[in-house]
Amino acid sequence: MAEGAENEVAELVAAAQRGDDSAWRALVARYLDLVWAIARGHSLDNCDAADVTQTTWMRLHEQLPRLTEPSRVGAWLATTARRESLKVARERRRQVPVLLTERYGERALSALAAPPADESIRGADSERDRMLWQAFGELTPSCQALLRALTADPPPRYSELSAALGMPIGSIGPTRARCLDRLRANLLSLSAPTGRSETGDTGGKARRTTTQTEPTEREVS
Amino acid sequence: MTGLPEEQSASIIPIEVLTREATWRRLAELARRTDRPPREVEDAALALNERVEPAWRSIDDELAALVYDSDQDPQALENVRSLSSSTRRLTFQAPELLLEVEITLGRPRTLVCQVVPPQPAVLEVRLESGILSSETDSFGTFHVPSVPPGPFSLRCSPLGQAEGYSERAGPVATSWVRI
Repeated sequence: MAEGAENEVAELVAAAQRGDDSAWRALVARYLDLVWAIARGHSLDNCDAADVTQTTWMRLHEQLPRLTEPSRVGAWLATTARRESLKVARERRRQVPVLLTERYGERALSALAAPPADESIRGADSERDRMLWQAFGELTPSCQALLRALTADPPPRYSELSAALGMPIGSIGPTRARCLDRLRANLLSLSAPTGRSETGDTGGKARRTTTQTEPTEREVS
Repeated sequence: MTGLPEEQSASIIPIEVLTREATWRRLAELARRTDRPPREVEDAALALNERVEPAWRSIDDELAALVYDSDQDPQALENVRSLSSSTRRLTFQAPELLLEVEITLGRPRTLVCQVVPPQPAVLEVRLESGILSSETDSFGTFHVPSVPPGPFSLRCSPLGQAEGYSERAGPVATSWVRI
């Protein structure tokens, strides 16, 4: 990403440090979805992801006066979100009732860790959406974390992703490609029994146009 | 198939012929359409700057980092299982002092804080709903009979020097923790 964007972020941080509320709001608008996507990419449900997101912003707020590299605030947020997510995910795994794991073994664990179950995804209304989330949920945790963080709006920089995933910048591109191929393979195997019936959903195009207006609305607020 | 612009193809072509990048566009579109952060989460983050009084985030405060949390300690969790009431222990460390916190997770949940080394101090418990503030006893012990669940942080301003120390320690604020 251009140096200009880094300067812009650094200026926002500097202004927020001086107590400029509009600068703080701009930082939230810029990075809220990234923090959320990181939490979701760690298989957290809505409630836990909300906790992680809130804690991460509180941490930034308390650290704001001490932030030494203002241009790296995105990477800082990503790292904090990842750490908090791993902590909550670990706690959740420990809370799996003992009997459940005894009876069903590790599968019970992975089923509970599986992200976006139908009811937690608010807008997933069509069969096609559900199938894509399901195929996504069958990816390895590291693939889920990477792909979900990449979907953040606005898209994160690779330096921020690298921090979010604890992964060298150079391996993000190749890993992304591998994960997408796996996602595609999962989709294929899910759709195999019923053939291509679910692809006849023509409502997709209409929805696509409506979502494009969302980012601008958010920027204004 | 070949006549379709790539942009459109993601939504209507059969899965069998989805390219890698078309798969990506479908996933990105789905995530952005159906899994945005909830409004209240956004509002809470936006409001942080308004709600939090400047005194809470004085630059002069040393930050006391969370160095021990019984919730993260497998050994402690094992022990808790056998007890009827559970207690969460937290330790925050600043360069000049420790804050040992014990929260009893009953009803009401109580909080006891010990300043180490023992010294009198003003302690503020910073909660989402506001601040509880009081002095510790002369041994640096502080007791709150009831704290609500949610995020909290402590701010400790020593009132005198600890025994054996020549200077009074500066104010300390802990990182935020959810209880």
